[in-house]
Amino acid sequence: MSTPLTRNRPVDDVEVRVTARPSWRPPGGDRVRRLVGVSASLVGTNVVTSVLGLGFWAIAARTLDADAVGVAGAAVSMMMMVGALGSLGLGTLLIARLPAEPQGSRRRLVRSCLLLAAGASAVLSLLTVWPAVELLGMTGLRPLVDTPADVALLAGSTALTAVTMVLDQAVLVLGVGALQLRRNLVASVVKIVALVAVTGAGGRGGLVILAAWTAGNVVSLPLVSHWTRGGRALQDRGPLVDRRSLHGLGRDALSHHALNLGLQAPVQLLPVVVTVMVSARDNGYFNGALLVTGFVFTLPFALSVGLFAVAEGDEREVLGRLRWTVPFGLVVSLAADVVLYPCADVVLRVFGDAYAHESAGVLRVLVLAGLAFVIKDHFVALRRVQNRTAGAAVLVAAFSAAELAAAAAGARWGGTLGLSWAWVATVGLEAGVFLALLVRGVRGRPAGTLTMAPPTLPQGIALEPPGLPAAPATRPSPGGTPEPEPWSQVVGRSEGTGSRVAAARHAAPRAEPVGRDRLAPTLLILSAGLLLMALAATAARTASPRPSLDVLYAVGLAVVFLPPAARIAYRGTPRRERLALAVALPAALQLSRTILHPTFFAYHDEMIHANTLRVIGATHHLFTQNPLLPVSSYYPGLEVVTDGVVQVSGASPFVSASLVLVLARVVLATAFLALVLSITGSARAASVAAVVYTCNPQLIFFNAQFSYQTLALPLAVLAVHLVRSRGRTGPAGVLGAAATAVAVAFTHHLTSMLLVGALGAWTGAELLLHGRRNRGEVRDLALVTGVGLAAVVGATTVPGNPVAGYLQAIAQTVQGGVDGLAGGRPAKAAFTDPAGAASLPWEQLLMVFAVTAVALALPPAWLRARTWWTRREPLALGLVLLSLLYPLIPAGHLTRDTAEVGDRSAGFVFLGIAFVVGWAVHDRIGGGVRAALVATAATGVFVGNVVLGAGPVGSQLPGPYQVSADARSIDADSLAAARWTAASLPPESRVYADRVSGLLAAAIGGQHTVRHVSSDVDASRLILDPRFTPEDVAVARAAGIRYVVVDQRDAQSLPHEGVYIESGEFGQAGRTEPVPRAALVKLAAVPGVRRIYDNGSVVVYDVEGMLRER
Amino acid sequence: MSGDRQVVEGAPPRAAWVLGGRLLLLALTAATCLAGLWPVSAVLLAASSAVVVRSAVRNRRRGPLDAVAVGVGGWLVAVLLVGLVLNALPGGLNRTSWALGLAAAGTAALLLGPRDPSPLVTWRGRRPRPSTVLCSLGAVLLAATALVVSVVGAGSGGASSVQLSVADPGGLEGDPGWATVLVTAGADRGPFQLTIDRGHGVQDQGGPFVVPAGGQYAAQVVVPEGVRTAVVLHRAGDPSPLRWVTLDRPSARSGPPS
Repeated sequence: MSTPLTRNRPVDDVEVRVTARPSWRPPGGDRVRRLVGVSASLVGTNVVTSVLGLGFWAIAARTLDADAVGVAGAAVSMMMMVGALGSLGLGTLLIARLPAEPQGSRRRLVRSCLLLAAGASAVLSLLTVWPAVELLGMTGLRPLVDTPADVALLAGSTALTAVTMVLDQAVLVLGVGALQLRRNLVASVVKIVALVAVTGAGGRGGLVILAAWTAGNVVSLPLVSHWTRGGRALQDRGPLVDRRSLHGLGRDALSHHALNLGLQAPVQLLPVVVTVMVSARDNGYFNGALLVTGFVFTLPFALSVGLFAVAEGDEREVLGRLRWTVPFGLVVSLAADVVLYPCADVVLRVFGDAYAHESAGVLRVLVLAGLAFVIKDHFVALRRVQNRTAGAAVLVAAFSAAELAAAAAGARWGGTLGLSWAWVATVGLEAGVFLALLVRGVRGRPAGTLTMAPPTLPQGIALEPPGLPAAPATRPSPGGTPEPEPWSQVVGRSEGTGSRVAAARHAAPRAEPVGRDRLAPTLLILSAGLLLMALAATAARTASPRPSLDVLYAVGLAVVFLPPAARIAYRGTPRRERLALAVALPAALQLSRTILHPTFFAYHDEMIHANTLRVIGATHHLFTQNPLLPVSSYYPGLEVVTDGVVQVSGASPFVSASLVLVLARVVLATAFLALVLSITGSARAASVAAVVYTCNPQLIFFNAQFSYQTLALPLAVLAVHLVRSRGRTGPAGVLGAAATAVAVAFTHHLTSMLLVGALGAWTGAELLLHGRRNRGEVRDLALVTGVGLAAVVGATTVPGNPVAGYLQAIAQTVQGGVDGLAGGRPAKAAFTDPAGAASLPWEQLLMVFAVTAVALALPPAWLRARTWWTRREPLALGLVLLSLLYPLIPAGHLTRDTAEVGDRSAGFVFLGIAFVVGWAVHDRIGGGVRAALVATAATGVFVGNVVLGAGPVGSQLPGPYQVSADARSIDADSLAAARWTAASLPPESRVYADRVSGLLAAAIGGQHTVRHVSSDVDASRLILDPRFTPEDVAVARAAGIRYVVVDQRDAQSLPHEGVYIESGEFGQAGRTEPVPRAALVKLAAVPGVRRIYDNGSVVVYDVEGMLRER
Repeated sequence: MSGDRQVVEGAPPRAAWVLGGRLLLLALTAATCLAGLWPVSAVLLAASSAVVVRSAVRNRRRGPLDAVAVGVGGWLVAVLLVGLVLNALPGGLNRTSWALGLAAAGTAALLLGPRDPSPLVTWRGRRPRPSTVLCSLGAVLLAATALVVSVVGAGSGGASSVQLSVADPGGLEGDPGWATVLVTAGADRGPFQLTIDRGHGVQDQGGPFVVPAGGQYAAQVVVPEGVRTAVVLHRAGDPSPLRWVTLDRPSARSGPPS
């Protein structure tokens, strides 16, 4: 079967040589000659099919427009990929099984496999293409599924593709290897003839090309049956197909199949990426360039296949030959690069002048990948010989994902040329990794001989010269081949027995099994997850509706979370890797905040603190007034640090804030890890606890924002760690802890109070549990508690600090919510926000799963935590008690009044939950499968809690404007209005505006936004009351309002955050309809009011004249 | 422990010139900050912070995890406390006070820190393999790509709509009868047309115009005393109003355009 992607074509052939153990040798037995011969044969086959394939596409390009060629190219690429997937490794399976199969049932086995592959591929094609178009919005592929006939054509073509893939391997095993070439020759010629015929008859469109392509396969398949008709006489009577013959044969084949798929995927999917990310027309040009590269990529591939084939499982043979095959491949690839650089347009002219013009640059870049493929293919060949295909498949799969992600990013950035550069750069990076592994293999070349898996085929089945009769059907002798090296021995050191110790040895690190360090690959995958999130966020800015992007973002989150979680849970993971991942995971999740909104403060609390930061920069002093939330400016720790970075580094406030937040997250992760490590003595328990803490619903929302608690919480944990890890008793020993407690006191009110309370409780518990035996401990604790208390009192008594009233108001709100619920007031609607926007079903499912999983995990964990009572460990007991507060988090969501308190408590409560659960499960997770299952479940909890804490993914992602939805309410128009106020209005003018416009007017516009909380005047009727009354003038005058900023889009819907402006606003009680438009435009008709700014969405009124006239 | 060795680096440098070098680095950081050499001062801030933190945590000997927690956390706490102290100074928090304050804090940490610092305990197993280094670089590259993609996406997220505004809202009253209105284009640059409505008919204000890319179009409008003046922006050839603002003198009393 010919294919435009000649590099991928011989992959199937690799399987032939992988599983088979060749015994036939050419006269003379010279391996070098065999290597050259096999390679030349493979290249020859590829050249024949590629030349004809090239001719096919050249005719298509010259007779049909680029759009049609692009669609067909994408369709064929997708068909090949899906066909390869749907073949299910059955080709390999046949290679392994057929020689041992009785002659009478061979054809039945082949038919069974062909039928299975056809069915699986047809179903897969439907499951792939339709969702890609309908759910993921890949509209470039829509021509493939426009009508039922189109769908049927695609499914049938894919099924035939899978059949030919399997059959091509099967016929090799049957000992008539030339059949493969003959069939492909016939198929290629028929394709061309069919294409000429249908286009000559006036056929147009991408599907015409696809139909012609398929015609070749349709015609060639009966010929194979005809050419092998001699075997029919040996066939037993019985059913045509028998599924029982397939039982238990797939495992070995699947291992190689996975590796092959990983190798094929990127090149096969690149045209799809171009079609989706750029356009079908560009893919037409891109496909032309990719076709040409197929020739260049074939040689290294054939060399590596030949190398493997002649090695006969001898690792030394491969390692020895690498010394000349690698340089030879590199030289030839380099020569191809040199030739193609000036000749790219000439070569591409075979497709047409437009291709030469559009694709020459792309070809010059793409062809560079040939150098990298020399290394990559040799690495794969080595791993096949070493029977380490599983590990290689994982590595190749990870890199394939990286290639596609980079290609997608490159396409978005710079079209097909950007895609090409990004892909080649990634392939080059891979080559570096593979080269290192190859060099390592060559240097550590084994002294022994065979390490390859025992071939299961009888002699003489794989490298039979074409035309030889099939080998006799005999089963191999079990003792005639070496045993495979166990995986654990191959990878070395990774599989330990694991600790099953019931209780930790206090302060004595337990010996844990040591495995291979996979920190770097895990970080690579984690970063790929970040890239997925970035792509989702970027695409979401303009896409609507966009459920597929929500899924993509959630998948990105899962990709960030799952690999580190699995590695941390896995018994054989080295301690250093485990701890490093436990720090890297939350740090990466902190970056997710930046990825969502990378250029400005986007959330309500962020803009409050950004305003404090702005005021500090303007006044050079702390404890000034912040009208958005007066209490916040009296706890300016976060802003102080950020201002320091701004002033000294010269970076922008946002960049400086992002840096400080990352540092705070690192402190939180490391301090918590160190704390749990010091309590339990187990790095594994500490790391698992860190992963559990990452499931905190607020970790990537509230606790990642530029808000005072984001810094205060890490510093509080650090203070506790410093107390526990102090080197000596006395004031000098607790100096650091005391200083940190002071810092917390000036960073966040509630955290500092909780810290002092915790330190006090710790002191009391020490006294209670240990009496006078530990007098130094008690004295030190009391000292830190005292200093912390003094600092809290000091911060509270700063003149003007309204913290007491602020906390009292919160308490009253919570009390009101609880009372209302107890009094029969209905609970908050589940899974919907105040504007009626509902979470998606999968989000609801994950939220329920997350809450249920944590609730189910806690009781047994609490039981296991009894050990800390036995050990009289006050700090551990405190954490256990903290975990008992978990019900507050889900229960808080029952009413709107308590939801925020429940959410904010999560950052604290999960410290206890993480400790308890981490301790309970750390030594029970065990080996790979269980670790993977636990990590997968934890991923579900993590994503579910993200939705629980931050709202539906759709609301987290940036996107088109929504009413009063914090970050989603900030768009180009609202930012433009804020910047205009900064440039045109006098600084600190008193402005009234809705929730988000008011935040922007203060934080960006440099204005004094009037709020009820700071002015004691509720001026919301100015914007929300449709009638203009004397009360409007009265409240404007009482609040000293000079300008009113009105976002006219507020009339579009109910507010997503529950209020248009602030709690208690005009018309809030019982509101079921959006604010009337009349309310938003009424000021325009008021005498004395001047309309001084209008951008279509946001309007600014100057109301000074109104106040003067009345 | 599990195979990852905790090894001790060689004897810590004790020579006075090392201390001098560190102090010089602090001084250089402060100087570049005061001189406003921003990219350089950012790099020097990172370097001097690392030097001071490394020196400060040297004696804890509780492993790298503790060193990172205490080092980074200590840096945050120190900057915060320095800021609180600077706030008490008359000049408050500004570039000069920050530069000098942080330099003083760093100097104090170096001078008052452990006089006989212990060797730094670090994690160091075997030398990282090339594949590890490359995977790590790949991870950094991917994360950086994610950030770049995000920033680029945010930058191209959409231009604002066309804006119509009064050039000097605060100063209009004192003008003798002229005001300037500004048209700021976003993705749509025109052609546009301005009209004036003073309650007795609409008249064009100049001809159709196109707003220069990245710039503004300014128009002078006469604002008679006692007459409310509405300036309306249309798309050229389309009478429906796109944006409008109102201008009036203190005594003006009239309604908006219909």
